[in-house]
Amino acid sequence: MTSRPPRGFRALLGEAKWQALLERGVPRAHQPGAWLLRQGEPGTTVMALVSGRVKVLGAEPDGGQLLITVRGPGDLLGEIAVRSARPRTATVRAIDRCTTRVVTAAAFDAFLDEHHAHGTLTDYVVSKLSQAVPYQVQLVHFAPERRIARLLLEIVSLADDGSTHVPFSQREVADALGLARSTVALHLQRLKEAGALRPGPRLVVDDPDVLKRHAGV
Amino acid sequence: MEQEWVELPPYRALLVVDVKDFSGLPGRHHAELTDAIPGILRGAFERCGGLEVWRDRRFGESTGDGHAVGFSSAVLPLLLNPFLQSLQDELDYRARVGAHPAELRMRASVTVGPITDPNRDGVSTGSGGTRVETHRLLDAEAVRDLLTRSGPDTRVAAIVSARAYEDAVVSGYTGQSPELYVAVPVRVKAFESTAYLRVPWPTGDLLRDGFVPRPAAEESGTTPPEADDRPSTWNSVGTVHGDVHQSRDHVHHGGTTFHVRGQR
Repeated sequence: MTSRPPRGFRALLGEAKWQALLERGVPRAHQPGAWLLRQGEPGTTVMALVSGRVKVLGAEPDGGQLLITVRGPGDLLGEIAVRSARPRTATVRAIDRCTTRVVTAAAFDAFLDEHHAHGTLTDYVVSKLSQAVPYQVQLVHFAPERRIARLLLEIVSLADDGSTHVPFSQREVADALGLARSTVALHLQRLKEAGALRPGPRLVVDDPDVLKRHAGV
Repeated sequence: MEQEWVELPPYRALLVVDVKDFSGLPGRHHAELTDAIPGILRGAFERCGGLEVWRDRRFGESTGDGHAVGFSSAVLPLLLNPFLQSLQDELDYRARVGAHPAELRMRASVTVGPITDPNRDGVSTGSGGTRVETHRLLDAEAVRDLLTRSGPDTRVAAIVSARAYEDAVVSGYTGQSPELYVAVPVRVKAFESTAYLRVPWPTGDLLRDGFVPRPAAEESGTTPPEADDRPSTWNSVGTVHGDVHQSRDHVHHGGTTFHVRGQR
């Protein structure tokens, strides 16, 4: 059902090896809002994300959760802890209904050996590290409207079913970007007036090109 | 016969970028991409808090598959750090959201030196030997090779002139360790110099073999040797009388064969 080109680890690995990896895992389905991984838990498995989008969250000292990044189909989850046999470095929650394959550390290692894929995993981990700083830090120098437009654009781009709905509340957008909720409300209203978003309480992208313009891309 | 002296043009920091495989992209996208490049650069400056630097640029013009921009020499350090990393991040973001018809990877070259500012009619923009140097560096095999030997997530490979490296990096103005840059000899047409390579996010063979591949005979055997034996990236010297200087750190006498190596 996905017409988009493969991305993430799947794109680096190639289709045949990605399928071989999936065969080593146990299928699981996750409802929106479900926890896939929890920070601090032992990292004994790695998950291959087959469909749906997830949020990667980091704990703040005050107990809050900071959005680190958004991931989609083709990505691996939990591969950092499973490599170093250390606790999970982040929490992962489902945005949409997601399907994954859960692969044990031993099976994952055997897969990497058999397919000479250790280097591919290194490349993948390195590329993900560039996004390992919280979202609001990555975008801190952008004006508020641009930050909001960039976040919405990225979430929509990861939808494998072409959905233009952004399943985030105003509060979640504000928290993700380190902005006041009133600031977010003001700019979302402007994006609606500009035609980038559809009117109404739900966040739905109406015209991606207008949204891209506001995102400065 | 002596000539009269002329005034030296102002010192400028010069940035030139070039999209990899631009001509390999479908022609219908060329104009769109050419027009997009200044916006990408602007986004990268904005991302690292350097929007004012971008706005204060002395000149900027398209080179077709790239863009050349001149700045006050005072901002040279910013062009190396954090701008190069920021350009990598901006290209990465744009790839993630499908901003362009293709995922873009860029070579960048950074130099500093006397460059004439554009005159009033906008002709002869940014002329001078420094301008030539910047374009020659960008054409060097060593920097092209960095993108060839890295994975798709390495989106920026930079080459820095010796003067820019010494003035901004060795002197500490970029706040970076000089070790982040790798010296290479560069020879393009009549141009010959030492330059410095920098990749903000190395992947692929750059991680495994370094920025400057070793000669095939010394390979440990995991990568195909023919891809690594490139004449532009290592040198051997037969009988030599006097000193041979190579990339600042290597000085040899007599009939010694030596190699210029990548990091580690």
